[in-house]
Amino acid sequence: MDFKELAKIGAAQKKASISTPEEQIERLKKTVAREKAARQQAEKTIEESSRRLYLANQEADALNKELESTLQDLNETLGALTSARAKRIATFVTLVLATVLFFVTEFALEPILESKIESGFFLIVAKGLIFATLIPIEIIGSRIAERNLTESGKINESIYRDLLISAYQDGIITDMERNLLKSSARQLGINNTRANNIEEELTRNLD
Amino acid sequence: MKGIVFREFMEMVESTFGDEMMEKMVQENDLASGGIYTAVGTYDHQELVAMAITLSKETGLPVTSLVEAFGNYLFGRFLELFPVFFNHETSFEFLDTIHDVVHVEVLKLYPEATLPDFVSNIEDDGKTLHFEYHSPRHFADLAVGLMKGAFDHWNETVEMERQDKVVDGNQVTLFICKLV
Repeated sequence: MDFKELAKIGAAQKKASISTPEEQIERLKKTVAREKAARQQAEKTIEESSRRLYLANQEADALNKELESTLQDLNETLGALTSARAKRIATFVTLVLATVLFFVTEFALEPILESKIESGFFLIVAKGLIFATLIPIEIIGSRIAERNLTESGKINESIYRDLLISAYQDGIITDMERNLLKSSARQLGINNTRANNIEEELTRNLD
Repeated sequence: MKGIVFREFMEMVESTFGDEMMEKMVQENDLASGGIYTAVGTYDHQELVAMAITLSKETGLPVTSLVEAFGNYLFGRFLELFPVFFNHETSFEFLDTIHDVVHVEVLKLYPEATLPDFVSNIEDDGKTLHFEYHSPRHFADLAVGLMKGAFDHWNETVEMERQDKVVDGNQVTLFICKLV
């Protein structure tokens, strides 16, 4: 049977039943009491639900904070790691350079000078000149080491790019993510302009 | 069973047979809930069975017909209340989504809800639907009413064949629906 049919039968049966106004009032009172109880029940349910939601929210907040500080620690470690790597490369380059220069002066230049210059005074002057030329070579050496530091900057930028990609994964940057990105950029030694450029480049690619 | 089903049942009885009938259903049964239902609550489905039996006695209509008519009424109400679930081309497509889409949404809101299982399968190039109803509550008649409501809504003429069996105390009803 469909509902239309039931409605027809209902309408016919409803006509047949007659009740007094007193009976009607009595029934309505009961209905009102039930509806009131139902409302209170529903309110209680809502209160319980919102309490549950509030607690769940609190928990989520706490977890978020924990996550934030863990990520911050991770960032600091990463930053330290990359700068340690760059320092190691720079030290290595300086060491190699110093060794090469030592051998060149000690075994090639000095014997030549000692055989060509007899006056002790000029010998000291010549040695002084060699020492003076070593300074620009040292400068060049440190430049090379610096370039290696820039390489580490590239590593840092790629770390920052990865962080941006994961932040953009859900399409929006939350306040927490924004704070985290800022502090990460700081830790990784990326200035604001550079950080903005990287982000612009990335969002263009994402579109 | 979810409170919304109870609320809608009470509403249907009151609007169709009057408040006197609704009052009788509540007073003549020793309902644990006292006949107090909210759409967000969960109640023993036996209360619905008890009220349907009273309604059957009072109206002289068989319980199965009443439950089916209620299912039919419920379809219209769901359509009004949750139109977002009904944007399908055919009734078969809609029925095919109940278990995987509609019930998933219900469970998101009410993780404790125990819902009937529907196993559906569209065959024969969309002309045949195998629809299996699994539930310990034996409300296959309600499903019949809901399905017929869907066929009417999409203006379809469908021949239904019903096979009932009980597996491990669970009523399993297979509906084979053929589009005419």
